[in-house]
Amino acid sequence: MNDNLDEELQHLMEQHFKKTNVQESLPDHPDARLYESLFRELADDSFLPEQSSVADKVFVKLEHDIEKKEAFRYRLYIVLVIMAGALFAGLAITLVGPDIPALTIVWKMIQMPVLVFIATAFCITYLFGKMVAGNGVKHAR
Amino acid sequence: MYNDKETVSRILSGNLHAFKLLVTHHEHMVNGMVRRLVQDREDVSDVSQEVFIKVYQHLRHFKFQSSLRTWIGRIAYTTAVNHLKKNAPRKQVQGIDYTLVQHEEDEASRKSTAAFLQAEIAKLPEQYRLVLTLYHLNEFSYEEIGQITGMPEGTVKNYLFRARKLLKERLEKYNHLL
Repeated sequence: MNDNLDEELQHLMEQHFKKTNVQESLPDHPDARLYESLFRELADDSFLPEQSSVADKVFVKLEHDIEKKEAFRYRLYIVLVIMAGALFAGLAITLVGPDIPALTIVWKMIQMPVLVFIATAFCITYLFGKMVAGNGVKHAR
Repeated sequence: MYNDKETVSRILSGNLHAFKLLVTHHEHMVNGMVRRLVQDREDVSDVSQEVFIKVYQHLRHFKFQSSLRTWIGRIAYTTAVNHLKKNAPRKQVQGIDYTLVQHEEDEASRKSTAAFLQAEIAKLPEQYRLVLTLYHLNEFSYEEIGQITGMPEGTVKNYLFRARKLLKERLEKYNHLL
C-alpha cells in the first residue's frame, strides 16, 4: 500500500468526519472502509475508563490551602502585633523613666534582637506566601 | 452560559466557585489527554488534579494569547509527560504482568473491533497516542496540537498520519483473522 493513497484517504476522512454540513463522499475501496471504521472508533471515548469528576477534589484542596495560608498569616500578624506592642511599651518606659538603670539595661538588651526578629518575621511572611502559592501541586497529589 | 473570559475574570477576583466551573468545563478534555498518556488508572485522577491546581496558580499570567482550552491542554500535556518521566523507573521496577495484559487484550479483541482498536491505541508510542487523542477526541486543530505539544505542525501531521496508518494495517489484519 503506498503512502499517497493513505494520505488521500485520511484527508477524505478528515473532511467527512468534520462537524460541517458539507461532507465528502467516500470512495468504495477496502482501505476507505477500514479508515472509516478507524475514524469512528478514534472519536469514541466510551472505551476509556470512566473518571470521577476532579472538580470537587480540586475545589476542596484549593479551599484548604487558602484557609491554611490565611490562618498562618493571622497567627503571624498576632505575633507581630504583640512584638510591636512590647517594643513600643519598652520605648515608652525608656522615655518616661530614663533614670531607671535596670530598665535601660533591659531595653538595650532586647532592642536589637527584637528588631532582628521583626525583620525575620516579615521575611518569613513573604516567603511563606510564595511557598504556599507554589506548594498546591504537592498537596494535591 | 459558560464564558472563558468572564470565568477567568471572576476567578482572578477571588471567586473559587468560578474556578470549579472552569474545571467542570475543561475536565473532559484534560481527563481524556491524561488517560491516554498516563494509562495507569490510579494516577489519572492525581495528574488531572495537579493540572488544574497548576492552572489556578498560573491563571493570572494567562493573557488570552491562545484559547484557554489550548493553554490548559498545554499544561495537561507537560504535567502528564513529567509524570511519566518521574514514574517510569518505578513502574519498571514494579513490573507489569504482561501475560495478564495480553490475556485481557485478547479477550477484548474477541469482543469487538472497537475494543481491539482501543487496545491497539494503548500499545502505540506515547506521542502517537497523544496526537490521536488531541485530534480525534478533543477536536484540536493541527495548529493547536502544535501549541500544546510544542511540536512543529508538520511533525503533528506526520505522527497523526503514521499512527492512523499503523492502526489501519492492524485493523486489516484483525479483520482477516475474524
